[in-house]
Amino acid sequence: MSDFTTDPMDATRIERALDRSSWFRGKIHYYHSVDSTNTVALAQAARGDPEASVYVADGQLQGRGKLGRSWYSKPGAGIYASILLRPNIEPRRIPLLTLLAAVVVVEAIAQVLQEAVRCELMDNSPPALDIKWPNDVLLNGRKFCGILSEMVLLGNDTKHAVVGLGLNVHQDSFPPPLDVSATSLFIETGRHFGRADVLAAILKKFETWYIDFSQRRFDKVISRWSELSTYAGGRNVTVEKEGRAISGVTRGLDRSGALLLERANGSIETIVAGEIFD
Amino acid sequence: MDLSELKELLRTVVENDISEFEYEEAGVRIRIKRDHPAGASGEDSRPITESPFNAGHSLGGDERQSIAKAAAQGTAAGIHTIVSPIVGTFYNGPSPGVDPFVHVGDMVQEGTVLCIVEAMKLMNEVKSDVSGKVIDILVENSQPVEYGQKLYLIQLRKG
Repeated sequence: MSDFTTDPMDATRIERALDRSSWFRGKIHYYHSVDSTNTVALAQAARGDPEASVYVADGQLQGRGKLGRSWYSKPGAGIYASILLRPNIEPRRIPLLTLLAAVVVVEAIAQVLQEAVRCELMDNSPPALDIKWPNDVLLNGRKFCGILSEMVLLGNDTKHAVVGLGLNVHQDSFPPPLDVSATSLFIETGRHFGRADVLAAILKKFETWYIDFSQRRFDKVISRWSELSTYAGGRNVTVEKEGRAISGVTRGLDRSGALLLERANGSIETIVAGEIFD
Repeated sequence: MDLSELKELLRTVVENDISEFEYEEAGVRIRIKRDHPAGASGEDSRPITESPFNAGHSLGGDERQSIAKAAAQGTAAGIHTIVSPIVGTFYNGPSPGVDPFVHVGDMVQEGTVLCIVEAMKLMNEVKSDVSGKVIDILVENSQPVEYGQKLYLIQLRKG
């Protein structure tokens, strides 16, 4: 196993790849190793760091997934970043940010891949991008990006939210049991993309989409998500929800971003949280 | 009618001081009769729920008592109610199989984490906005919750 180890990343490299007017300029915080970038972001948010601060680590010791699960965060191999937001939007709308983040990653990676094809760095068959509800980003059907978001309230108002991203970039293999479900940009393309450039592409897209979100164009986010995901409609899936498995056919998203699932008896179940299996 | 709608109905009945209510839909009949409307006698003003409920809609004795207590105590002086800020799934602890953040009887401070409500992989830590004693937890772990649904009753600390 020989993961690529010569892709140094730091705040300067990321900022150089951003536009001069980027919302994120001057607010990139780079760490060699942290427990979890989300934990750092939440702590810094409480200390008053401004909106659009980004916390990036070369590796995470306790990269977090949903409900205490871990995120495999091999140093030097992935992008581990958390974005601090202070949206002036009521809490019940904030979960939509997690769908928005998946749209951002798909659009950014599609652009990076197209650019590589255009520069003849890759042949003309980039891997297929997909989103599994709510926000797992897949390359050729395997997960290469996970998104975990957290929100903090002050009374009934949104105080801040943190969107955490974990992207597999340079890994050439994964330990079991991840080997069957996980993949990386390198595995799917045979090419090592620079992490600073990939992250900058993501932040650029994020800025554009976050303006839409802040201006309450929630339907636009849902509609774009639905265009980019094969899970949006007509797909047979099983959802593990509150300890029980529910099978059905996906029938799009409701206005909040919840997944609509048509059961065998014709009833529609609204899935707000749960794990999707093919 | 699911559990959250039933709870909402009970709340509405109590808050609007309705003494008797009957509802029937698709073979499910719910009758609520209150002997002492709110204000007459705080302690005894518990709604009485009667079956039959459909399979899957039945409430255990503890659950029924819990709802009755919530409805009766939710507006009582000195009791603070923590509600869900979003629609989602309620988790009483940081991950499955570990101890809940708080138990009934625990003292909590302003800012103490009580639970997580998850929607679409957005984890929302619900914190207490008061100091006091947890006197009831109204939702079971891993259950769906509605926006504004009551989750915890906190007896405010005196003084």
